[in-house]
Amino acid sequence: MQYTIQEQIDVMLKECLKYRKRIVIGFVVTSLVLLAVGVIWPKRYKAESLIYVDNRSVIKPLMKGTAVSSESKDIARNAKEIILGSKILDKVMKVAGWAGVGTAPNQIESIVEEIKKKTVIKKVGDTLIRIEFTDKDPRRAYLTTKSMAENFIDIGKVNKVEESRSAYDFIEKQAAEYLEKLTTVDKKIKDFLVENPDARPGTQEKVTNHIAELKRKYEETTLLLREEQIRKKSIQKQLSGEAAMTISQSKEGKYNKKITEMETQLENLLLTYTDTYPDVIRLRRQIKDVKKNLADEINQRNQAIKDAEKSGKSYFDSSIATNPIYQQLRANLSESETNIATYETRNVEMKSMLDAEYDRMRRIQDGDAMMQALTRDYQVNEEIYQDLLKRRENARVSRSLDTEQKGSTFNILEPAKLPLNPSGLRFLHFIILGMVAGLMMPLGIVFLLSQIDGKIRSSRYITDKLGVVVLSEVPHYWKNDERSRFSRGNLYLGLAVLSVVLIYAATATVKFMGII
Amino acid sequence: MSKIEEALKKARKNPRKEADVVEKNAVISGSGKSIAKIKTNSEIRLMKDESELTEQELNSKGLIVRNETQPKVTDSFRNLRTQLLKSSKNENFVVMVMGCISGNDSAFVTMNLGAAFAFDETKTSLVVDCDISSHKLEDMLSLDYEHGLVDFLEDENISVSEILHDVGISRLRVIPSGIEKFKECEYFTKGRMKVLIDGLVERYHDRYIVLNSPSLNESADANILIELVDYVVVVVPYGSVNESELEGTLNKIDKTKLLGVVFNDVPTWT
Repeated sequence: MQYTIQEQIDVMLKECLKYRKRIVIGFVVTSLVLLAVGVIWPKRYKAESLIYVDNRSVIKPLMKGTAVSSESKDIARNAKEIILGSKILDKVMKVAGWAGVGTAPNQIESIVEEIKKKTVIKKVGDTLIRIEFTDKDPRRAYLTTKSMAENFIDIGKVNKVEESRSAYDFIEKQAAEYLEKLTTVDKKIKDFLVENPDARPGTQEKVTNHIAELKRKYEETTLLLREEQIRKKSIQKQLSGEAAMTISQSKEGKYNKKITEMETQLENLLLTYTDTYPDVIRLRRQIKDVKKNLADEINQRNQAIKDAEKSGKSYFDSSIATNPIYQQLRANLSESETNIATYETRNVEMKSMLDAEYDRMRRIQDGDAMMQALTRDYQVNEEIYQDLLKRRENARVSRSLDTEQKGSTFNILEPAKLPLNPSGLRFLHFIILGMVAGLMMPLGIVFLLSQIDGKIRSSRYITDKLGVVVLSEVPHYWKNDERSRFSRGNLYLGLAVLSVVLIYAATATVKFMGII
Repeated sequence: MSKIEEALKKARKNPRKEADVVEKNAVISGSGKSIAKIKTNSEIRLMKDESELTEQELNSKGLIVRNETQPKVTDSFRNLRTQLLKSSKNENFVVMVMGCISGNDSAFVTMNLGAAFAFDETKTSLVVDCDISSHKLEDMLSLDYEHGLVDFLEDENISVSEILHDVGISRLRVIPSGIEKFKECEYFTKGRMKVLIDGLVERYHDRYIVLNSPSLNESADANILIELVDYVVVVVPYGSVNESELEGTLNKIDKTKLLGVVFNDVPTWT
């Protein structure tokens, strides 16, 4: 329902009148309960300490770029684990007087639980940690916090030294490992070279050249061989042709020459004489004889060639052997034959050499792959080894730094102080709270109910909302006895409120006197 | 003893009851409508009650007192009366007071509205309790009676004068509800009820009749009664009625008869 502020106040006053008893009862109960809580509310003292923690790990910058280290840790949680661990808590309990020598183990357990509950470890910014400890005894709170902070720092420093030492060890171990690897690969390479002399770099080129040369020579020789063979054949042909020519030059030539001479003589005689002249007759007979001789000679030679062809021997006769050209040809033939034999031998030799070289080539290629793998291993390992050597020197420096505690990464920025004033809610707060809440709570409930129950509490609302005339607004009718009851009731309610105030005053006095 | 003898005896005992006797006879002898109105002030004065209640008694019964200790309540009822008279243009009428929800508010407003009419010496008022299933009005007045409205409606031998009761306020008479003998009996649909109402209102022109009705959600009688009356006034007690409840009630009432709402029991410190 929507009321104006004026109406709201009006309605509130009416509601207060209507529910006055409940309001007062609510006030009395609420305020007395809060007062009681205030009386028994324990005083709390809070001691706190601020610690600087560098959470950067040592190994991370040292191994930067080489290895990936694990994620960075939550320093507050880490610190909590460490501080609330039994290592520190044992010391804290002794120092702050939580437990003596004779404390039973189950008691210690409950004390540990209590300390854990009262300790708050917060992360402030990136590198700060705040330790807070709340306790009813200010001195104990102070001692506990102080002891926690100091022990945490000590452990942190020890851890830091330990960490950088282990970082150095780690890197050194890695370096040694790589050195060993390098040596192994080196030895392998040497062994391999001993076993495979051809595997040296550059050998392959030499062999290739050699093969090329051999090939060239082989081809050259083959060419020569072929030429020589052709030459030999042609000489042999010439040899057989030369014999026939020589014969015709020697005998047939003579006969033909004689015939020609005699025929010339005959022709001359016939110029002067007739055929019957004896000289002419004789001459004619002579020509006839010479021709007959010539024919005989030719037949004889043809027969001889045929025979020679049959027996496979070159036709040879004494007259040919003395022929100088023939002699020359014979000499050439024999030379050619010698050459052919030489070339053939040379080719065979070269072929075998080539095969050997090809073999060698194959071996070299196999060895090369192996050699390359070995060399690669060697190079990679060497690179890492060199890098590790550098890093090892860095780690050595940071180890010395941490050992001498020059690069301080743990520091107490704010040492714990003895708390003088209790923290949290104090008795005064409860007095104020009791009064205010005692008043506000019942009123608030009445107000809320009047807002949400949807009952009509204003005549204007009926007129505005429902459009019906409100003829009259009749106030509550007080009967006389009711009125006197009302007055008496109000008196009691007033007394109740007054007594609450008095109880408050009395309790406050006692409390503050007690403190003084 | 016949009813007439009884009435006569009463009249002898109380001369001021003469008018009632006349009325009774008139109603019984014929239809109410035919009776001529008697318009004399003397008659009203005759109704003046000599054994009026003291202020103390009125207060203990929750009734308003003229010029007395609770001027605001008294004024509110006077105001209500004036508004009703304005609506009726000074004609007498029958107004029904109906509670929005069950409770004593309706009886309280009915009685005090009747009393407010009676403040005026020229007017008389008659309160008729039609809430026959409860006796809130009778309980409020601590009324001890023999016959009521129900008896009259059931028994034709009972006369009007027998159900008119004096409650110790001048110019104010009350017809109590009587004891309901048969549940679920539709008393008000009977012609006798209409005759009664009409007779009552027409008998005296300066008599104002106030009906106390049960709420609509309590009894179906309320709906029937609306037909019989001139005006309807709805009583809304402070902080007890939802908007929807009130709206539901208002929607069931003939708009021409609905005069408005009385916002009752508003808390005050004095």
